[in-house]
Amino acid sequence: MKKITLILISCSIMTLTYLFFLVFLPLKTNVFYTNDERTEEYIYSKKEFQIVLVGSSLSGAFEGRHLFNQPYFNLYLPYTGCCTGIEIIRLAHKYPKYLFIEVNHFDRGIDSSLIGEIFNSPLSGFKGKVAFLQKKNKFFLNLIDRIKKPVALKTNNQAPPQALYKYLLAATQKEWQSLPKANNMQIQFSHMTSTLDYLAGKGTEIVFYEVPMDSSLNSSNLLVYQRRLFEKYALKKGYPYIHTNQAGVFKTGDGVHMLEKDAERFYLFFKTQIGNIAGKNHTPLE
Amino acid sequence: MLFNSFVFLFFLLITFVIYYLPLNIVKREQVVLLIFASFVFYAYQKPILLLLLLFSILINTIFSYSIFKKGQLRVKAILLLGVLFNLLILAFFKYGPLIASTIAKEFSLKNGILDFILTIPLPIGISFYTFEGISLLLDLYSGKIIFNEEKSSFYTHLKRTAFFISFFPHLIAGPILKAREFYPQIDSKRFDNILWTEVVKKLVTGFFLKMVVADNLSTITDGIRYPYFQGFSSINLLLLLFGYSMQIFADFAGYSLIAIGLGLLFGYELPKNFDFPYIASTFSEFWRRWHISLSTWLRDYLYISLGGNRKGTFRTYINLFIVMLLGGLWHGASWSYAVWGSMHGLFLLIERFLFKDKLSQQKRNFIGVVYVFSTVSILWLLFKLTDFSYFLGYFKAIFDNIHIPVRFGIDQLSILFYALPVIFYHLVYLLKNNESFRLWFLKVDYLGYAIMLFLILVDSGTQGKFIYFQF
Repeated sequence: MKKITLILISCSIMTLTYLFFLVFLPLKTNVFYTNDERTEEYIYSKKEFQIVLVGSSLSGAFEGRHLFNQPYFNLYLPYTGCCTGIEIIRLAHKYPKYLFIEVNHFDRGIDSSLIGEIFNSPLSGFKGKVAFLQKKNKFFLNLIDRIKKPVALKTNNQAPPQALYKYLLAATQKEWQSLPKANNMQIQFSHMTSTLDYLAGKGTEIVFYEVPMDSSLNSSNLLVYQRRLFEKYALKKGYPYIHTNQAGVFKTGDGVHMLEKDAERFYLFFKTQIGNIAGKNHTPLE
Repeated sequence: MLFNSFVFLFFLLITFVIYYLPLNIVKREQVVLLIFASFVFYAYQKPILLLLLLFSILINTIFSYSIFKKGQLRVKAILLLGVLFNLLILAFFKYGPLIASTIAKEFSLKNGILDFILTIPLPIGISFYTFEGISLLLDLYSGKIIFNEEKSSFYTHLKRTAFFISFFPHLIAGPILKAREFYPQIDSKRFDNILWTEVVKKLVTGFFLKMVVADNLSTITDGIRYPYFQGFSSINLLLLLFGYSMQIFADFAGYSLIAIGLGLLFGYELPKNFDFPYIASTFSEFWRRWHISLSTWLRDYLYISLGGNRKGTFRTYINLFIVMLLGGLWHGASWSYAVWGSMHGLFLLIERFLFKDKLSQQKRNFIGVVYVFSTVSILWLLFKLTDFSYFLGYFKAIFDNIHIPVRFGIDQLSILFYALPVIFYHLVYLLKNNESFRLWFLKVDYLGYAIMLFLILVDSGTQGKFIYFQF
């Protein structure tokens, strides 16, 4: 029993020291490696984000880039998409002034396991107060970030080996040619629009945007279906929609994720589009 | 129910409190309480699968009770029937879909029965509890368990068998119990007799290996997926392989330690399953240290039954190879597991051929450790890439991708960081041979456990299933 007491006392001292360290010497970073980390940062950060982007890994192309003149939060969530981001904003009760929604991966719906883990875990209530429970404060990760300056997940500089590129492109083309069940999409869409109405009621202004992919996907069934759905809704509600058909052709590493140089080009195009919206609506976006 | 979930924590707390309540009825029926708890534990995710477990318990009870009551007459026939029954259950549920898909593919067949077999779900833990059923029958037959004739009514035997097979700490992923080791322990247990220090050490180490090392590595080693691995540089591919080797050890050794700790919490000693396997410098040493409960089961009930090494050199080689091949297939219904087992069998044969009887006298040497570790790690890939062509493709990529620039970011550093505790864990074991280090370590080992507990709190990965659940 003496040994157990020693274990518990030592562990408590270490934990309290680490907590002290996190509270008084927090690592100032905007780099978050996983969906959990990014989501928790959005929820538990003391900052009020006026501008938020929600989308899939495609919106990761904006990571580390200066899009607006004021701080913004890029809530891009690889393997899922805008529906999850919108749901997180609703459940977190942190309503931005401007919400940019990437439409490309609307089809993925809400990632219920991520939502469950973040909002329904018995520890959820404590994470805001006990900083070490947050994923971004994991000990080794923090240690590594202090040894090596955290670097945002950059887009790739070059395409993967040809055989892999061809395989990935073919798989992507196949994925984007097939349509999910229309009924499910409608249910998902109506859930999302009701959440957007709720957010609009809280004063959030909404902007839709597309991220360019391989040119062979521009008129793919899935993209066209989603585009029509969102265009119709945007027109009805008077929300701006940033199209990419005027932006040119972009190179990707797998059919969907732009290579670095092209991502930079798209970023400049996107910035101009934001400027146009801001000019038209006289908003403080620029 | 996962050991590393809040539901399990709640379940454990309730079971533990009731188990040690100072009431006569509880003291009398402690075993029944644990059987009930184990059924709840098992049925939590898919209640329907409990039926098969109950059926297996009932049939094993009937066969073993018959062996126990029949004297020498017809006992062998009952034994054979019982073993056959266990193997048939395993074959149907675990290998049925593999056989059906192979037949359908090779003969381009398509019919209702094959389709039905292909949809059969794999009952979790089936490989473990069927082997335990066989152990019961064989131990009773060979007289390694002796029951008190007066106290052994059918009901008592049913209760003990149900407990032996279903006791929740080992039910889903072992360690595989041997009846002769477990039955003598079945008795009423007292709270005062809990070996708290041992329980805490086992649980802390087990949860640390699983939640900190394995769960953090699993998100990174997810890169070992076809076709994505083709995009990594050669060094990154080797690093991923190293990470997966560390992960699989931490995952399974972690689970086993948690199971052993939980067993001790309820007064039962479960067998050791891992003994620092990555310090092995020969394959035979590796198999004395990795998944010990399976390797000793295969040795005691299969290798020896086949004649072991008593029937000449050639037959010994054949027996060894058969045991490893079947051991491989035990892991999963995929031909890649058969290849994995065969490769291990082949390396064991080569060793035996080269060193003959001097194998056990081989001293540990660094080159041997590196050789065994590297080969074992390469073979683990067959667990991740179950299609053999992908497995070969991984090695092709190691040679082809030399020109791709090496990435050294957060993932690569994380692999090194999370591998450190596993390396340290093995090093401490080696250093313990030094008496002065051992004495010093005994004084400060609490710090090691405190650090592990601290890291469980502040560095757990995303909760994931245990790799061995699929077996």
